[in-house]
Amino acid sequence: MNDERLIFLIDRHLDGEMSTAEREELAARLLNSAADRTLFWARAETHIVLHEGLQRQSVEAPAPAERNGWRRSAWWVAAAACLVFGAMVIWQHWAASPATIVTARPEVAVVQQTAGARWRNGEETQAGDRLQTGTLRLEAGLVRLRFFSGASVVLQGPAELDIKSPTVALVKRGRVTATVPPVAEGFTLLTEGWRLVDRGTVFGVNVPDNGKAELHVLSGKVDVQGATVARSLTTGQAARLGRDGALVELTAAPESFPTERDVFARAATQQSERLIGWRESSQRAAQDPSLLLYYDFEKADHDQGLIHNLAPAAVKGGDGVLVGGEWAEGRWPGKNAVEFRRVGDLIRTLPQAQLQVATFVAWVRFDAPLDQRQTLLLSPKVGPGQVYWLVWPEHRLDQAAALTFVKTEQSGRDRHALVHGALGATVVGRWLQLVVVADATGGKIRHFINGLCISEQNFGDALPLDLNELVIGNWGYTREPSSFIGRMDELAIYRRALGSAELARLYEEGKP
Amino acid sequence: MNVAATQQQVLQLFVRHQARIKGFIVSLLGDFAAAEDVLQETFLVVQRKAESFDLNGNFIAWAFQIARFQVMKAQAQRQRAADRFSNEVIEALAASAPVEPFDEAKLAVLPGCLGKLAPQARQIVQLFYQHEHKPREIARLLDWTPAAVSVALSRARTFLRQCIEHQLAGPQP
Repeated sequence: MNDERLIFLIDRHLDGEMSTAEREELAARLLNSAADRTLFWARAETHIVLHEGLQRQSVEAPAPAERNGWRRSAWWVAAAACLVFGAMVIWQHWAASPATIVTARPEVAVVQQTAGARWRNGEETQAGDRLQTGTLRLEAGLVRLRFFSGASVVLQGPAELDIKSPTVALVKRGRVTATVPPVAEGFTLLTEGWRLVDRGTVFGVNVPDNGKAELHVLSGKVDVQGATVARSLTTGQAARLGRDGALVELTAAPESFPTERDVFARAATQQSERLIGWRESSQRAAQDPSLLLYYDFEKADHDQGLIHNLAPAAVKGGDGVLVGGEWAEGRWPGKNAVEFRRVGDLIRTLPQAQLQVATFVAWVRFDAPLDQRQTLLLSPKVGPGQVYWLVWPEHRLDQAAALTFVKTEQSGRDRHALVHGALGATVVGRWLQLVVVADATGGKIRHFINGLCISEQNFGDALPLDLNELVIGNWGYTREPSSFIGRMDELAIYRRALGSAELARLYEEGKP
Repeated sequence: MNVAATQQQVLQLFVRHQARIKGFIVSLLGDFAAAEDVLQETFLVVQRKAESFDLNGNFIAWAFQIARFQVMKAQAQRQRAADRFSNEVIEALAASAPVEPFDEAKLAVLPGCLGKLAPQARQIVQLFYQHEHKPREIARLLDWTPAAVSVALSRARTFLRQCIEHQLAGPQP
């Protein structure tokens, strides 16, 4: 019985760094001794508590970027089940000890552009997304990142890049081109066996599946440091990692590395294809006879500030009047949006309806931290049936915000369908599809984000929603700050409850 | 009780005990990223088999059965023998795994205990558990040897285990 040795072996296993001999030794002990198995689980318990505790500190949003987003959270569970107590699920994820001494992972880079990017785990990135330290796993396509140090990196899938800091990243696999302006000189790419320090350059690194890294200097100078080498390569030189870290000279092949221009060209093509695809699906969607109101913000009359209601059975008052707000770019270049910034920025409309069942679908982008109340939509007439659709700041949740849909009941009481922590800090700057399906006949309400149901709750009495008049993007009649700060480029209100599959399809057709 | 209601209850149980189930998987695999995939697979199987769960039974023990099988499946894909336990070992460990709910109280005292670690040890704990870097990556980042990182992690675990137990034992005079 040697507990010290056993603990050493268990820890090697938990560290994920074990030799074959150690593995065999540990296996033999665990098979032969119940006491050793008990010690294994006792040791594992601390491991589990530490992992759980520190992962919960890494507050993350329903955003993408690898491990960062959905997978870490309980979201995928909630989404699969759309649990009645969805709020609790999300709470589990967001809950962080107030006395936290460990901060969330630092943000170190920005996604500048993507083209055909497919991430492992099916996440999605948009230009402008902030990336935290950690591993990016790109299966296909091109992505251009800008590190906070100023260095720019183009990744060509399949590739894995482990971002360590604003100045250091480890290339685990694939092709990477780094363009380093003088301000970021010293930017370092690591590979298994090498440390590549920029001295003012453009250089390419390729790590094939066999792990033998290649360096190609497209222009400038790179210092190569390894166990047995320390030298510099300059424009037009290339080398491969040889045995024992030695450097084997190669013929440079600059054309085999992706450039910023490649990403730009492919992204532009892709965006125009997405826009065309969206237009087709939008025209189909506009024929739905159950639409009360449909703004695509495309055929807008800029001079009169009129936003045409494209719903087939549109009433006269359903056109929106843009009281404040600016025309801006939507999800793709060439797509119109309305930008809301100040108190007066709002759209007024008179759909003239009272609905017991309704679905609200909005494509929006928040452009400011979610630290104040923001109004997506409301019916301004105070009294039973009045509705609000709001973002509600939650300071205890570290920059996360709740989404809520409120209806004033017959009794005069406001009934909230609130989802805690629905929007994390990283949603700022990304286009999101937000949906509320309210069914007063069945007393249920569901919230969706990006086609996924995040919450289903009981929702008050059978009183219809008062949609005679609507104000979009602002509270309208109050001095309290509650303006939506961001853009909206599509809004639909249906007279029926859209199902999960239908909403997921709408999201797929409309995602940027 | 109808099938949908049973399934709903089982999924709620999964969510409630997710930390415990994930911990089971993480401990058997010794790999955070792989554990995340196995947890998701486990969730899908739990969802599929929900109606076969007896709502009066021990959910954690039932979920461990499913998770154990998924761990074996994941392990079978690993190339290096050094990276996997035999199914026999997994069986033996799974049979002796504690099936109590995850103790949230331990998380509550964790920040205090982490605060008592030396700064460098705390940094290593963060890099490993929060950022999920492997010891050899941490070694490279900090310019340490991998062995030194492993030793520091090991010591931190021993200290933190004692500290957590101590804190939970009751208020100190």
